[in-house]
Amino acid sequence: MSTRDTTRRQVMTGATLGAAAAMAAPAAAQEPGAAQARGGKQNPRDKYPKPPFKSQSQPWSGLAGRMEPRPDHGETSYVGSGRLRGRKALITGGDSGMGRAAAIAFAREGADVAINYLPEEEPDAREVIDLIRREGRKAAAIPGDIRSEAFCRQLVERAVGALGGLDILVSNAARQQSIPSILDVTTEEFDRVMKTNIYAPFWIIKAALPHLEPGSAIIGTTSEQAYNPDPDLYVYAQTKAATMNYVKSLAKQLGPKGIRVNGVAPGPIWTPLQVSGGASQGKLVTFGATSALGRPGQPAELAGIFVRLAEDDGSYTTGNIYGAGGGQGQP
Amino acid sequence: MKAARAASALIAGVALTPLAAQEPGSRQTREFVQAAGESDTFEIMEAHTALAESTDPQVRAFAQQMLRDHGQTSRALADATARAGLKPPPMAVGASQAPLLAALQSLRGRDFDRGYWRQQALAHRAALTVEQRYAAEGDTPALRQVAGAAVPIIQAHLAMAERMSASLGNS
Repeated sequence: MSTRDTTRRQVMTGATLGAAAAMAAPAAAQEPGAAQARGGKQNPRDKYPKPPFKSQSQPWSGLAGRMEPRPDHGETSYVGSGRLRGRKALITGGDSGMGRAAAIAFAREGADVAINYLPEEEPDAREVIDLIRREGRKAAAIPGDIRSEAFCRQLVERAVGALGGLDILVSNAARQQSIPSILDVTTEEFDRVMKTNIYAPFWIIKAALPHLEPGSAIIGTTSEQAYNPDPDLYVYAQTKAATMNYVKSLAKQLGPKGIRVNGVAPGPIWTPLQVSGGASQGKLVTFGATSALGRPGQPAELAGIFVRLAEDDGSYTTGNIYGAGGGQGQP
Repeated sequence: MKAARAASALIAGVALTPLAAQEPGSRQTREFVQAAGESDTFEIMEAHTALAESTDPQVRAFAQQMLRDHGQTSRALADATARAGLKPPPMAVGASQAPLLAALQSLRGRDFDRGYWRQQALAHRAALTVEQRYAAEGDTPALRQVAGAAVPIIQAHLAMAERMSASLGNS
């Protein structure tokens, strides 16, 4: 909406906030400033769209392709340098959001990638599969609902079969619904979140472990919500606290086997989770305004963290949580 | 040679400490511009949130008015800082008000409306103090004028927000 770099701000001065106030949906006109060469520097405040955003809603679990503005997962910007050459990764929730950013980055770093997603997320998943194949890497699309233990076991077996092994597991898929009162949380909803966010990682890690050789890495997606929960995310936030905790427990358990376990803690990130019930409309239109950088993060801004935690160069990092919180939250 | 260079820097009005060189204006003025700019941004963000969340006609009308009025006060502030050769006001929610916006973002229905009025009363009381003080004591005339013009606008907002907040049982 507004540019704040030092050269242009002198010129624009008064026009900026007035425009913010007057325009109903200024963010719709913005496109992520993605197609930049790597290196150099940009003001992080101005790098991506800022609130206010357009009010928008999709049925659970949402499609990135229908968000305004479209999230940046690094499609045009991520440049690899062989950091994961020959690695084999399974990413749950790899169709959109941070999982998609990880999938694109992993492929560009030389890894073969299997992604899991819900069948209704097929349009997003197709794009990711194409992007992985465009890098000349193997891609496996494995749709299915990870609330089933039987499916979780199949998921791992199919990924191992398609990729010829497995040495990176990113347990990223999650359900999040904003519900202001505990009185309105049904047992069905509570169970659905627990199954997706807590049981599924348990089942998937358990199934994957026999395939993971020393040097393998497990990465869980936790959240700023693990440390500083919003009142309307009572259910989701406690699963992220559990994720933060299992990362630390399993790091101790699997260290002796040469397997590293780490977590990623995002702040407010612009993903389909937020437009499909994860945030109220009131939160969505000013999403990220509460952060010190004045905007939500984009999935692409976490890609490098997933790569770092997966790659062999990060070999002493285990039981740690790496954050991208925009100045809020405390991993 | 060195002495000559230092002297010409002084003549050109370039301060020798880099921090002072980056930040024109007195501390009082810089703090006022920051507080007033952050306050405008907070009001605009809360108004966008209210328009997306609330169905209450009075909340919606007030939020529309906040977009208009704080759009205007923020433009006046930005113009005055440009005229006075100061850094433009920040377009950011301040660290002390970010938790308020975060709390509002999690509310719905009547709880949202009640929370909005309560926060609006609090925020406008804080903003009024900032504007009144600078209008009375500020050292930069262009900004004193802006602060003075903002005072009656904010007083009207405050009166409305306090009336609505009290009517909804907020203390």
